[in-house]
Amino acid sequence: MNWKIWSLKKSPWVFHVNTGACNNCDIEVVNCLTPKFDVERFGVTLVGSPRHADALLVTGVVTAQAAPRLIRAYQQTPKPCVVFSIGACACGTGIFRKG
Amino acid sequence: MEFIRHLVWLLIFPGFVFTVVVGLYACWVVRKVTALIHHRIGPPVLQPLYDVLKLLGKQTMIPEAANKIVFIAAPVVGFASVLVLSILLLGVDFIPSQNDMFLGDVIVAIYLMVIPSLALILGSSASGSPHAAIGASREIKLVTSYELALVMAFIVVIIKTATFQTVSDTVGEVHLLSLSSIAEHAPVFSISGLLAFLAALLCIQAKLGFTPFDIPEAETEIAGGVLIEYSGALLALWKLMQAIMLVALPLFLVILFMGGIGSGIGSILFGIGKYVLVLVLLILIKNTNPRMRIDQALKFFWFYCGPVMALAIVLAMLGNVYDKWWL
Repeated sequence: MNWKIWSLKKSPWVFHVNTGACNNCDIEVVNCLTPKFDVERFGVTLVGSPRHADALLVTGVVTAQAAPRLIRAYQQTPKPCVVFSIGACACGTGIFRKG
Repeated sequence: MEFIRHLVWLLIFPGFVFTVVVGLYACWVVRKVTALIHHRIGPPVLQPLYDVLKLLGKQTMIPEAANKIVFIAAPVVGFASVLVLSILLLGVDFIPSQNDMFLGDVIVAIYLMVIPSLALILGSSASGSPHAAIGASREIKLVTSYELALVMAFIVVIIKTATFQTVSDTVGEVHLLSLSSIAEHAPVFSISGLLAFLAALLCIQAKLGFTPFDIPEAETEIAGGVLIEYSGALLALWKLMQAIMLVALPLFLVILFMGGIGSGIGSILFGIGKYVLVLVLLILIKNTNPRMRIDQALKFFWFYCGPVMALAIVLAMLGNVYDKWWL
């Protein structure tokens, strides 16, 4: 396996992008860092800047206001990187599908 | 032959490779002990290595607004100076002393210890981000606040060890500042030495950017502050620099206050114990204190540590005059 991808899997640093979520998914994300789940066992660290991140955790329907910001955050993330969409809103617009 | 031996000293032991390995291991110790304090399991031993490898494999982005030369040069300069510092300190312990070789003294070490902070200030101000600018200004204020107390603590050590040397009369006055002659004494077992050790411990805490004084990095306020625009290989250099500082700065305290590491298997084990003791003290302070504001940190170092250090210097001088080692 490519050593870059291998080491990326060993230490994914995540950056948290809220694009109009109701905060529940954000709590789920932060909850993973607590002593009960402790994702630092697998090298996951929450970082404060997309420049340090390997994975963008996107929560919420991507609103018209938030879409350009999300694209900018993605452009500022050094490649290779991955984007996770977390929760019903980000995956399939959830309860906002009709509205 | 001589040349090859020097090269091995510089590159493998106690030079580059050894220092980086110990630094990454110390980095893991910090994260693991932090996790244990939180009642978590914590990362595996090789985690800091994975982090650095991953960062080396990633794209390095340089912001458009940045001054490219300074932005790239700053982590290199900081890394190099910390590496030289740690080789110097480990050299005092492990390289057999020769009369014609200059292994550095306290003044050199003080200079080399300031350079990483200066590199951090330069790099973050060159990156052209408002968060990094706030971080840089805070770092400048932090350096101006702790540096005085740190140097005063070193002065206490120099005064304390000077008396022993005139008594034993084995070294001339030229060697008063030399690290290897300071490492033969342990001034922490006197009142002034203990005060100086405590103040120096807090200053080292600030130098490492650990929590009560992690004001320039403040992840929750300014999102990583000084390092915010760094990515890829340059960020890996910063991380390596911080890892090596974790070796160099506690080791410096051990050499100055606790009698160094020495040679022989027993004293090396004892010395490693002393180093781990200082490191764990730093981690405990880190995990049991909330972050200060920058004005509180300034006030703490100037109005509390400063006068205490002045008192310690007076005590050390009185101890010299009246020949009381415990003062």
